[in-house]
Amino acid sequence: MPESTELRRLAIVPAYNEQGMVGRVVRDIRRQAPGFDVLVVDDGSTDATGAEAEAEGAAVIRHPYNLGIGGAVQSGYKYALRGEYDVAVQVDGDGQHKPEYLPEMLAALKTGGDEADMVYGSRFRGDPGYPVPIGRRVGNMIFSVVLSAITRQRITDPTSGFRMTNRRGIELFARDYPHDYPEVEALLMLHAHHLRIHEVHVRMNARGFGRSSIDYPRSAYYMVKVLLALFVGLFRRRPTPVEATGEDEPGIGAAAIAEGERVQG
Amino acid sequence: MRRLLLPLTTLALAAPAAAWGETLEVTSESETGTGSLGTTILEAGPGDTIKIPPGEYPLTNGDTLVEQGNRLVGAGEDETTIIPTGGGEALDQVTVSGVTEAAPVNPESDDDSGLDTKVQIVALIGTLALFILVLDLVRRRRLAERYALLWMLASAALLVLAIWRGGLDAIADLLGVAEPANAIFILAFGVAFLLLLNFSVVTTRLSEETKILAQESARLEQELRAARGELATGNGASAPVAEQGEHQRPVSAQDET
Repeated sequence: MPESTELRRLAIVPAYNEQGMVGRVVRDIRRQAPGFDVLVVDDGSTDATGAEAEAEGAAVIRHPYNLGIGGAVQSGYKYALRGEYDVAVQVDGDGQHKPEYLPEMLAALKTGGDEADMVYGSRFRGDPGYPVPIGRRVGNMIFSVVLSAITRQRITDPTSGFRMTNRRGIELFARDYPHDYPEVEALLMLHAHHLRIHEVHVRMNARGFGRSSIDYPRSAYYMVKVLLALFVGLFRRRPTPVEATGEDEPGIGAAAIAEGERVQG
Repeated sequence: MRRLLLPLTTLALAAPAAAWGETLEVTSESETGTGSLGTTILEAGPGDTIKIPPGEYPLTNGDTLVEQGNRLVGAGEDETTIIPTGGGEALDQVTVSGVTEAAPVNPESDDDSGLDTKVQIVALIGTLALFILVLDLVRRRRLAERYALLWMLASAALLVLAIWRGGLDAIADLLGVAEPANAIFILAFGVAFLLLLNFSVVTTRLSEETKILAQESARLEQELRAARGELATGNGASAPVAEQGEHQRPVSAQDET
């Protein structure tokens, strides 16, 4: 398999009712990271999100109903696994993540440290790029402390969904992706499967639409729930590690077997 | 006037009885304590007569009454009522006059009695109906066998408890619960809790399965659309550009529907 030169790269854009924004996200990715195919996972939108993404030239997976962010992202990883992609990156459909960082993240994935399996963009390694609400900052700090302690490495922005991963990460997430509060728990999964995590600093946009309006009681509630999910996640039984599936030649056959295991298990 | 008259008449009626022994008089309608019928029986000696004024008197210490062979003299059948608290057999074994005997009440019944039998019949009918309902749901395939088993066990257990009353007491003893009724509640709560937990597990599995189905169907739909697109552009490749556009339009129109 030809390395570095002919890498198949996929940008996964989960979008739920992001009409008016998702088109711009797709356009930006295609312009600033032309090596990436773009897949928009339309998670049961009731507006023209899917059509808008398609008009910009993205492949679109339309969920028949809203599965939630976890299910949408996992759909993307399943697509990546089937399409034999080597690299997949999550870019939020609400325009929060800036595709201009994709080349830098790709470089870190291949060359950074001792070859990271997952590179993610952290807002909190420097200037976040927009005024992050205090509630989010505090919540993020708490998760950061907990996750850094568990993984024994500095994780400054565990709720960031701006993540790029290689074949191992794709396989892992295609088979099993946390459902309710995926970002934080997914980091835990990567750690449990001995996949290396690497951080790069990015600036982000404030969320495209007014969705960031998580008020304090609700963000506190969210935090408690994620911490609980984390705690439960620590004891959750995981399917067989990626190594056991023969990752050298995953291909369609292995993917189909993995699918079969999921359905039966 | 009345108060004075009645004791006088009873006295007159009881006068011949006084010859066999002492006469004691009951002064309280309560079940225990000084002056109550039960206490008066204990105070009386063998062969004594016990006078009972008008009112309703619960009878305790029936065994002593029988042993001593006391006579009970009421103020008249319309005036004095005795309510046996045991089985009510004591009154049949002594001389009683001027007294109405009420139906016995059993506060600590461990044997069958009218009230309990009624409850048992109701419980029996109820649980039997439940059991039949479950069986019928299984028969009509509205309930999968694996859940039916659970419900059938639950209703069978209820049925057993309804028939075998001693079982409830045994379970109460085992759990260290004083009241058998409370034991039922504890058991029922525990079973309901387990059933709900089971449903949460089932729901989780179902939602996981539907998630996979939704993802799969979305993926297939995407692949179908892509294949159609390829077919359209493949046909159009040899044709002029204008025609290619025409080819694509109907395909995307189909996708929208």
